[in-house]
Amino acid sequence: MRFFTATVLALLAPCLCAATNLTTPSRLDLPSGFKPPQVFKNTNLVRNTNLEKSYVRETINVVVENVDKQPQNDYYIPFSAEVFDRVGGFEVRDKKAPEKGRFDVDYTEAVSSDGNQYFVVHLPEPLAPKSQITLGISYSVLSSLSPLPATIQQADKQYLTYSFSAYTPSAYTTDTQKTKLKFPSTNVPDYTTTDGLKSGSDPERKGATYTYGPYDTAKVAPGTEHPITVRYEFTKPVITVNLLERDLEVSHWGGNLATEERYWLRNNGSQLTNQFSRVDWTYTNYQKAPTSAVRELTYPLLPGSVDPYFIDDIGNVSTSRYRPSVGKSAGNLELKPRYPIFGGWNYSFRIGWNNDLASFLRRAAGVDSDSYVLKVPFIEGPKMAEGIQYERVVVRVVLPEGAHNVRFEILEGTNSNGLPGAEHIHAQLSSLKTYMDTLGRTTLTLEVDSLTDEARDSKLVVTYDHSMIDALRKPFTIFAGLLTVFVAAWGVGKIDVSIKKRRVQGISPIDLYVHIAGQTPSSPVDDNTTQDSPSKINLSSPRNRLGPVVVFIARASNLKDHNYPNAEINSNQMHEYLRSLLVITVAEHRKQFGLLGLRPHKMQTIIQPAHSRVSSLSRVGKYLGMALEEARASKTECIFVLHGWDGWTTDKMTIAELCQQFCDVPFSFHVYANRGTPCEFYEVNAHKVNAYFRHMVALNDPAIVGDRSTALYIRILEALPTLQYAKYYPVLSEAEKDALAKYDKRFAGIYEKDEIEGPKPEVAKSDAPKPGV
Amino acid sequence: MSLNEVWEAASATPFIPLIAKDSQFSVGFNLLVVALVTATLFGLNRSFLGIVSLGFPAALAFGFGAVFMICAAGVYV
Repeated sequence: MRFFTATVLALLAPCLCAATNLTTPSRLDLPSGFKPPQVFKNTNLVRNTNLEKSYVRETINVVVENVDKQPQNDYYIPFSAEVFDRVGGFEVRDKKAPEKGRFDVDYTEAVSSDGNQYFVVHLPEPLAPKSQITLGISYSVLSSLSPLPATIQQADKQYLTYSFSAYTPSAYTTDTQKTKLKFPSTNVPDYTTTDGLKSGSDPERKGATYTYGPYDTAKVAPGTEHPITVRYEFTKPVITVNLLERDLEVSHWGGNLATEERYWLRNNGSQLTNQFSRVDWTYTNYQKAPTSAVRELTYPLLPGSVDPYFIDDIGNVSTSRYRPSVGKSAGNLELKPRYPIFGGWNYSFRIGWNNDLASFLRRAAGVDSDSYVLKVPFIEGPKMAEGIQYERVVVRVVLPEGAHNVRFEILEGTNSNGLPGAEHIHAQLSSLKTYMDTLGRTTLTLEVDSLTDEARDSKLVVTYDHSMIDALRKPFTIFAGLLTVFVAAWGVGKIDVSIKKRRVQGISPIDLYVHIAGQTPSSPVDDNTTQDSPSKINLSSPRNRLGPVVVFIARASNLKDHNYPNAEINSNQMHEYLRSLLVITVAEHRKQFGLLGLRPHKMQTIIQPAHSRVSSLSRVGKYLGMALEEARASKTECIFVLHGWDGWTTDKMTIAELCQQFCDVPFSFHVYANRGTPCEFYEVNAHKVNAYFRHMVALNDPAIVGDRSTALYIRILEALPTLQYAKYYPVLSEAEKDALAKYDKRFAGIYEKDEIEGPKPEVAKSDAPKPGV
Repeated sequence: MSLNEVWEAASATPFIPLIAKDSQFSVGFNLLVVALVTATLFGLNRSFLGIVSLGFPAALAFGFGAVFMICAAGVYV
């Protein structure tokens, strides 16, 4: 029991222990009117702006010199507040030693004076006075390209415009700088030309590359702008994912890594001037002409990916094709949306697939063998030539139930991984309840804003502890549940709900009458007892092993009460005669009820006038009382098998007296009598008869009415005095006599043979049975 | 020690599930059949001895069988 309790407590113990490296990004709050201290100078700056994709990717290489007298290590990079939140994957490295990794960067809130927000780059080592360092700054700017014209025909070319300043925004003075623009094609119909910024033409064009500068800006104040706008052809969709939810579900039991991604996608390109034409679209599609609509998404899947699915708001999208990986090559999931996604159109869908977990999960080496390491791609996403920008990405790593001590890390390489620093990824742990979970699965949620498909190759490493007891929680919970059902079934089965038991403990109508009469029986007796045949009594019960106490009784009113007219017999012969009747009764009783247990049957023959009391002190009374005492001692029932309705007595008080003494003993009469021919047995509840005689119940009581045999017995005993009276003072009509004769043919005989007897019958000479009878 | 180094250090101990994906259905099905048979036998004679000799293994088989069967059905728990 202790073990069970300890196990249950251990299973229910909270599993979400605090992970050690969860981060919540925060921003520095700079004072109003803040201006970065002029401790640096940019001696040379080259900005490369790549416009080949549907977002702007900029790389700035700048030689920074400390012009202060003190070593400095905080370098400020300004952006206007409306652009700042659209800057993604910001990273700064030492250009000459990129393998040393990215520098720590802090984000600031907007400064009210100039509306700028800053990235504060913390150099790993303070830069000494007059020393230089070459910084490689890379980032993407989302949603900075706008289509012009804003609406086009379905098959028209699409043009995008991009506006920027010829002078790269910087917090410091820059000696020389230039900007290189890389367009997707040479079709650049409009671009700004500058005058007076440099000698010669500006920009210089070389294929799809336009170069503004170099400019000598040593005397230009930081923050000075010279606006430039370029307009170039981009007949490709501007795919923007408003929200990507990516779930990675780790299953130890299934050995599976299930991935599901939910996309809310939008094309930010030129909208259609006219309504969409299916015919034109079919024609364009047939020619495979360039289009500004999303026609298809190609999604490379890792080797071993199986069971892919593609579902949108309507249901399964059948216009997709999966080319499984062969060997170690990647598979390809080709997704065709239900409709081409033109500018301004939205499409949301979900895709998912499975992988073997063995490729992604390892058991950590070392003494702590309960620790696991998971290495998965941070995001995957479609691989498109035009690129994809993600405004918000939520990655959920659903670990097994009970996983704790969760840590994560984003892998850094020598090049940018397209992600911001780990401290700018919002991470939290939560619990997710799904199939067969009791506590819920530990879930690591990582949220990043403003990403591009540059982050496709980034890797996420998660370590967690998962013990054996955590692993066994699911099967053990089901096991415990089913075992509880079994134990409950066994326990319920132990409860005896049988009627037999209730007859001792329950309250019967008779008891109710006794209570009404103000008496409490010594032990309740169920009136239903005698409604059942004694043969139905459960003989397997220990207390009834010997069966009920059965007494066969036959009575003669006098020595002439036999079927042989004119025969003169003495009392011994009469007892012999009665006994012969009982032998027939015993045989018939056994035919009807079978062998009632192992207890020897008792026989009692009585020669007793009608309506005379059989005293309980007489030998017959004692004998019958002893039979009931035996039944009481054995906790069984007592049955008087009577030969005829008056087989025992016709005196009410004789019956009532005996029943009253043994009201705790189930007591019934089996009357072998006839309502015509042949004879049959009537099962009479003696206690009901007693209750009636004591005026506790009326004849029309449901307990009597519902018990036909008992009611009949009572009516016949009530009728006997009338019969006796009518015998000598005929008051009954012939029809009434016939009706009475149907109850017992012997009643009919009263008028035929018993002419000798007077109104007051004689008392028999001997009411004692013969010994052994 | 970075987590990537932990990953590299664990290269010799890839995760191997208790039951391979291909065997999940057969194992789960057989365990459920065993659970059904033993539970039925227990139902015929519900006694304390029956709980120990039949109910306990039935519950155990059902617990593991259900987990493997739901995995075989594609719901990886």
